[in-house]
Amino acid sequence: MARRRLGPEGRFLLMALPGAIFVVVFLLLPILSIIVFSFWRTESYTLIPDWNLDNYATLFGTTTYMTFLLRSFTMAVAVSLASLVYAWPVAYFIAKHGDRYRLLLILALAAPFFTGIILRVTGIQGVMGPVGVINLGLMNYGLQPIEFIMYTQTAVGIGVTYLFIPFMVTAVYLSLLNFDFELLEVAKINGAKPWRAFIEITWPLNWMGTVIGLVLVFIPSMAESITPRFLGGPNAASFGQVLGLQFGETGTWALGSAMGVLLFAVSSLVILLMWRTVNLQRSGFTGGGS
Amino acid sequence: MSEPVLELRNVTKRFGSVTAADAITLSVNQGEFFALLGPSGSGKTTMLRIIAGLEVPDEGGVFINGQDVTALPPYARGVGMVFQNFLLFPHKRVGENVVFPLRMQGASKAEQDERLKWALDLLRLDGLADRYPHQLSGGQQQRVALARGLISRPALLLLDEPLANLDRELRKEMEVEVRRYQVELDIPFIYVTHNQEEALTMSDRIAVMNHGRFEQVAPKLEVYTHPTSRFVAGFVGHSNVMTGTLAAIEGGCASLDWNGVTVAVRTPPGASVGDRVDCFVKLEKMRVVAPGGAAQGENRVPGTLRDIIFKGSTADYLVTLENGAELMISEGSETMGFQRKDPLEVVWSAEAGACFPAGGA
Repeated sequence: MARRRLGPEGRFLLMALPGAIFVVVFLLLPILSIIVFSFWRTESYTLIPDWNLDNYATLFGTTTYMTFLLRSFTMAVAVSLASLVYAWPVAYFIAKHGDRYRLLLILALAAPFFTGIILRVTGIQGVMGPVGVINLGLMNYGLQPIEFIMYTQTAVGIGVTYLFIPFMVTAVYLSLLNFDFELLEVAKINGAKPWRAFIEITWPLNWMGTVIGLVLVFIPSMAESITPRFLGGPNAASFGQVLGLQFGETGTWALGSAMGVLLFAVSSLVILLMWRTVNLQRSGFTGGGS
Repeated sequence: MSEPVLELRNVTKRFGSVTAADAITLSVNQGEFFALLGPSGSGKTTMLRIIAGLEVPDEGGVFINGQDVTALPPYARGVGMVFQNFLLFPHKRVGENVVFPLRMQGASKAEQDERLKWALDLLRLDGLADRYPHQLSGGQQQRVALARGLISRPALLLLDEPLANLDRELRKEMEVEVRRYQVELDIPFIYVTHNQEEALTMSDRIAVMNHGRFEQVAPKLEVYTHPTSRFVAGFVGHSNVMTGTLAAIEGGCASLDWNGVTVAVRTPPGASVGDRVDCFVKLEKMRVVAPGGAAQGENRVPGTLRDIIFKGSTADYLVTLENGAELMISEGSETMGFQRKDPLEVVWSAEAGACFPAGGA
């Protein structure tokens, strides 16, 4: 007897399966469980399914939690903007003048990822900290060390920007790869000065890539916990850091879950707001084939 | 005569070891349709980019209406340009694309609206102002590009193979259209093309370019009928080439020994007996006749009809001569009822040929 052959629908399902499993197991289930836990409570390191809103009441009712949230949000906004300003020229340079070194230059951006995050952050500490290269150098010449890069919010900001800027460069670079630089010549012939051509043509046509970069930087920056621990002082604790504590030292998983849900909500909201600024037509998106 | 709108003086541009423009001097006048014709890589696009300000020449100067613009950036030159691949701004609607040059000049909203209406009318784009470029056909996109190039009343319009991406039918139609805009606006158009039909159809004057130099700059009819170089003779129109040795020279007339067949030709300037020369005769300057007639101061060479290629209004006759060479003759398609393998004679006047020292090939 001939083996039964898979119909087109069967093949479709078979191909869709691995992706679907991944999404369910690693994305939907964890989020669902965190949402569920956030309505429970913890007692002596044990989750008790006792449905209540206490965790959220604590979260929104305690000034310090809101301060942490606001601080992390502000930090993430500042970091996103800083990487935007810094990454654009870098990506533009690589896309326009990288020629055959393009791939090499982009790989160089990824080089820091070859080490772990802890190593990267301590590396930064070795540059900016009290016994870091910059301040030791200054003091060596009898100059005052730079205070604001030692265990401050600024130090954390610089560190986090350094960590995630490769995402931004890559996103903008990939966008610029698909950008027709000849359009700039057209704009110039038609009377646009270089800066005007940038605003009229380059920026809107690469806005979608820029948004992707902003989101890729914003979300991990918002949740960052390691960098503030190493580079921040006592007044720089982040929401992510405090969130981590709930699952570790204090063992208040339910409250931690509520914090996670809040973080997830804020991030989703930011993605939504950013996405609404993208008008596909205005991005030069032609819908594939046509 | 008023001063020329565009003047190039000794313009030279090199890219590494390649000279893309070699001491080019040129004037183009008000209302002139000027074609730059040449094979790809001949430097014609570079010329256009130098005029537009997208390339800076290594030597020489560019003058527009008497003003030296050599050092001016493209946005300060006031020229319009239309590209082969349209290059419309994909994120702007048709109206926004067309009005872009005026906005850059800071024209008032009222003027923008008025000019936009004018441009859309001229190019028959009414009703399309709110579309995005990708929603238009190729021909419409090219008309939008033309509208954008013309809206700000440029001193001159540069066109870089603007019809090359359109299909044949549309191209024919647009050739007539483009010519109409040019006559209507009375500004010079400088039209780059590798397509001789386009150049011959539309232009007043043609410059034939090769290796960064002008081979010939003349009214189109003259370029077609009186090529001044071997390259022009071979590139413009379709010709039979007869390569042989000059056997005798008698004033303006010479006889050419072409593989054993003696033909009368015009004496190439500065040639002497024994020189190798190429003689070009356009296909339509030759006729096929039944054998046996008397030669009346014309070349008359016997041969055999190998094939007839019917082309509609004309037909190409392929004739094998006794010396083994083959000639192609273009005639009206109704001409006589010759059949394949019929013996016949090919007739042309010595005046019809243009002779030059033989080329390498």
